[in-house]
Amino acid sequence: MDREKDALEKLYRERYRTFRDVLAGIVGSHDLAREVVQDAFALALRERHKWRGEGTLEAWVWRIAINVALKTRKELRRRWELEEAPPPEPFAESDHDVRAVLRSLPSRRRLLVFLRYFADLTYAEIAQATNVAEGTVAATLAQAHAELRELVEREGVKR
Amino acid sequence: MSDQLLPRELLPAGPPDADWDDVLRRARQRNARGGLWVLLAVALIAVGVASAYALGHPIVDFSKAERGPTKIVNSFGSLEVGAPPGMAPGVLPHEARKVTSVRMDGTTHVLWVAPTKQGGFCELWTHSVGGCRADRHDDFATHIGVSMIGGQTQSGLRALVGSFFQSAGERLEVTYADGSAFDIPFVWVTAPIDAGFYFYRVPHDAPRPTAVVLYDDDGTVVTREPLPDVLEDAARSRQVQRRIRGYAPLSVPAAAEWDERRQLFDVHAADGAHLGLWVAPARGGGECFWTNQAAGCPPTGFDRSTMPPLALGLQAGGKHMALCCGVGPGVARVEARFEDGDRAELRPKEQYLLWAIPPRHYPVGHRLNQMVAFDAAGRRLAGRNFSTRTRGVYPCANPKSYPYEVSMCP
Repeated sequence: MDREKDALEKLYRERYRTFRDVLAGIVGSHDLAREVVQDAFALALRERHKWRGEGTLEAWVWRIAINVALKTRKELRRRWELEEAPPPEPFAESDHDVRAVLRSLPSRRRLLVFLRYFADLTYAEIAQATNVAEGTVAATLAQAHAELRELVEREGVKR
Repeated sequence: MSDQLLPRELLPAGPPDADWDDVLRRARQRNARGGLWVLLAVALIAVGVASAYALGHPIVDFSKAERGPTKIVNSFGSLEVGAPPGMAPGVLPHEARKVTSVRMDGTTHVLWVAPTKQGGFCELWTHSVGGCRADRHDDFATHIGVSMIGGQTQSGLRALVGSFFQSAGERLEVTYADGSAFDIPFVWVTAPIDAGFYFYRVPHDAPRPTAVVLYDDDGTVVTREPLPDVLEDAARSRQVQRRIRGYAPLSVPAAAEWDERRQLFDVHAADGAHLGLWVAPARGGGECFWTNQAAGCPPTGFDRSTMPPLALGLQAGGKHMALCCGVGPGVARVEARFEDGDRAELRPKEQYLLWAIPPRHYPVGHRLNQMVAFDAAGRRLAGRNFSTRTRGVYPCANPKSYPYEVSMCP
């Protein structure tokens, strides 16, 4: 019996949509995000022996998925040859609501917000997924909270 | 800030497209692609085609793809109607379907594909290139098809467009003269097409592309297609406009020593056209020639003594038809034979020949059907048959209408 494989399948079946929707915020569309999730879980399956049980399996997969997504976004921007325009932002149609405020956050900070509030990861899991210290996660999220609060109050955005 | 500030509804939900089996398939692939080129392909291929991603590149289900409108059907049909006898691709125009589209420099190029009776296909990229690979069992079927679209770029190329039959191909790559290599996104189209298609824009400042390479899943080369240097080719075949009194403007090889030209033939066609054939030394060696409709300089190292006895072809020009341009060494006389039994004796000069075919030999039943080459002693050196039923070759007063809205002379 392959416990890690079973655990990965369970994680995929339970959390696929969260992975895809959060990663869409990085790569710009659900179609691309789906490819990232599929490749990330495939990579996790191939390299599951490298997971040593330090931290949660989900955080480890998030780390893989985020790396795949960031690499994808970087390469897409570098090699976007047939279309000069950059990949579309998933929230581009909402300029006056909370989505727009979220979009205004620096990408790294926005990712942490997504992982915390959409993926429901703990600070420890976010730290593991993004390869930063737990204290940095807490500080960054606190900073993001403050920025969002200020933006919401200043812009009076819809919720 | 509370959790309520960021409700889940803020993330627009995508479709329920989870597929664990797909993850397992990807995991089994030995060489992880890292998702990059797959994603590039996804990004570059227009939404709306019936596609899947079973092997990492988009797969278009031909049976579910959008059918071609009348204009597209006629485009494919004209390939069939206008082809010389025996050279029709056997395309099935009404089976044409839209496979994908890409945008380049503000123009959308749509790929239409139609199967052929022999198991191949014809392809048409709107605003770009088209062609047929009628038979998937001939020698060329093992090659990667590459059409090179020229442009004002460092390499002289704007795009590489083509197709391949090799189903083992999992990754397509272009290599450059500086040793770099980049993946080319492609789509695979299901039966009856069973082929991959690509449209790759060559970056403006890229060095010269040297090859297109197809790899299988293990990273083994399936096919490597070397690419010629288009700038070098263009330089060799570059022509300049020249005027000679009494003749229409001429396109003359730039490599020809203009001041050393000699005229070998001076012919008046029945429609009043004044035709000529000139030769001149080529800069860098060899000899260039030109006529009203043809021109060329032999490639470096070309030996004229190796010319075939009857390197002649029909040259259509407006309302006249001519026979041109080269013969092999030792050919002193060429006999043109016609369907109606008529014959004409032609005398080459310095291995060149230009002759205006009389209008009485334009109609079906009177056309040129054979040429025979003789040496100075009257010995037959070679013979060559000509098709007399190819439509659209000979001029006529009243073109006929054919299927697919094609109008041409019979």
